[in-house]
This record gives sequence, structure tokens and C-alpha cells, in this order.
Amino acid sequence: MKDDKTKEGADLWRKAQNSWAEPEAAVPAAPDPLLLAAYLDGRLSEAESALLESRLTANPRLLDEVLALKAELAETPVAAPAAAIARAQALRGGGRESPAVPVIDSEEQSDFLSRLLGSWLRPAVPAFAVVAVVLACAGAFELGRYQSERILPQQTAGSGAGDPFALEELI
Amino acid sequence: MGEGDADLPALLSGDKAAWDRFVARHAAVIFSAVRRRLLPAGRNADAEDVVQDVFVRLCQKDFRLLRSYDASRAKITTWLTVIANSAAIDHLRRLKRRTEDIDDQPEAVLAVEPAMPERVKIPEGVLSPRQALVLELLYRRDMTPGEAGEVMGVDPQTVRSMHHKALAKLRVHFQAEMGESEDV
Repeated sequence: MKDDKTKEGADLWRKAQNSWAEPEAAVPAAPDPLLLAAYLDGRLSEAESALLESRLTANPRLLDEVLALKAELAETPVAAPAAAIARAQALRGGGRESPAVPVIDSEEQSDFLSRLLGSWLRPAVPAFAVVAVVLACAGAFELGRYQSERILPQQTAGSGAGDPFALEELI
Repeated sequence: MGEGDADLPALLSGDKAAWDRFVARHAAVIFSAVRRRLLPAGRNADAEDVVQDVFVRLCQKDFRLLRSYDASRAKITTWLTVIANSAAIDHLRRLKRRTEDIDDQPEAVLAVEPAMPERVKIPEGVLSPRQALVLELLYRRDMTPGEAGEVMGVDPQTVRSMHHKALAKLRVHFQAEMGESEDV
């Protein structure tokens, strides 16, 4: 085994962990972000380090987190999309406290408009329906009357002049 | 302020331009940490939303979270990476709760991670936390003394020394335990 590690060492540590394993209780609270950051930056006192390291040894998931963070900090950050930066900047209004409301996109804006208009127009909806029905009936009646006025004279004129069979058919 | 952020005092007093500069300066660190966490879960598309969530956390309730940052304790970039990582984990947990019924999962999916104790309680006086961490990093995480030293902020020789002492202590502990059980 490389780097001074031995099979006996691996066996001993496995045996130790199995004998000292605890039934999984409630998920322990995550350590304070500042404490974790200080540990990652190597700025904890010896006592604080020992305390955190005992938590890391006891909780493999927490150790996973620390290792992932350590790897992340060694990487060069990737530039964030401009849209993400603009959205975050828009969280704060100029010079005074403003609520942390995400930027409203166009879909949300149209929802907002329809809600606003809806709240004004909702009480008038039954009246609009009645007016629409009356107008439709009146329109249909007028159209029927107009068409009958145009067609009837043509039929009377046409039947007398050009079509000799029409009268016979009628008879 | 050293490794903090020069704009923090102005930002905390409500200066919008300082906030804009802070966001522009640190968005990359936050975005990278979030993306790194979401990528293996196939949720890369959520990265921008989680970044927004991080900035909301930082500035809500009159910058309560941002006010808890102490430049004398950690670099602002390290602290923001921890916060961003935590926000990404919360996001994945929320998604998991929303979409997954554990009974519907095939057994193979649930058994991907190797069985290892979730919690370990080391009996008092057997190993120091540092010695236990050295064994964990070397044996279960298969790190070299150099890699383990980097995690713990010590040189590889110190790791080797802690490793040997820890093994010696474990041998004594288990021999004593075996002796006790034989006596019984």
C-alpha cells in the first residue's frame, strides 16, 4: 500500500468504525458557514479545529462537504451569466431598503396585467354578457330584414321578365 | 478589510452602487460553487435560480446573513463558496422531497453508495479528533499524506506521524478489548 498506508491500518480503521458506528439519529445541524470557511482558510484555533474535526470524523457526509468545498476553492471560478448578475443587482433599489423580490419576467408581467384588469372588469361581466346577447339578436334581426328587402323585389322582377318556365313551375 | 470586501460597509448602509459592484465581483465564485454542486445531479439549468437565491439570502432582512460575515475569520470568497454550496444542497433537497417517493426507487439506485456507518462515535481517549481524521482521509478517502495534509492545513510529515501514532493507539485499544473478552 502506498504512502505508509498498510493493510493492517485499513483493517484496524474499518474495525474501529464498525465497532463505533452509531445508529443514524436526527441529522445534525450543519456547522456555521463562517466556522467552516475559517477551517477551510486554516484560521481556526487548535481547540476549534479539534472540535470541528471530531465532527468531521463522526459524520462522513460533513467530511464529504468539506472535501468538495476544498476542491471547489482550488478551481478558478467560471464567469456568471450577465443575466444572473443583472437579476441579482436588481434585488436592491437605489439607496434604501427594498424588498428582495426577484425580477419579474414578461410572462409574470402579463399575468400581473391580466390580474389587474380582471379585478376592475369582473363586476361588469354579467352586464356585458346581457348587452352582447341583445346586440347579437338585434344584429341578426336587422340583417334578416335587410336581406329579405333586397331579395324579394329581385325575385318578383325576375319571375315576370326572363324566365317563362318559372311561372309554370310555380303553378 | 484585507481579504474581505472593500464595498461591504457602504453596501450594508444601503449604497446601491456598492451592492452592484459586490454582485459583479462575487457572482463568479457563487455561480461556480452552485454549478459544481448541481452538475452531478443533472440540474445545471437551475444554476441561475440558485445564484439568485444566494443573493436573496445575502440581502434579505437588511443583510442579516451578510452582516454575520467576519473578515478576520475567513476570506469573503471562501465564505461565499460555503453559502453557495449550502444553497445548492438545499435546492437539491427540495427537489428530491418534491419528486421522489423512496418506495418507487429501484433498489439498485438506492444501493449506489457503499455501505458505511453514517455516524461514528469514537470512545473518549482512544484517538484524538485529528488522528481519527487522518485515518479517515488516508484509508476511507484513499488520500495520500500530502492530500490529507492539504485538507487539514498541516505538512505531510505531520500526517505520517499522526497516522503512526493513531495506528499504535488502535492496536492497543483492540488488543485490550480482545483481552477483556477472553477474560470473560
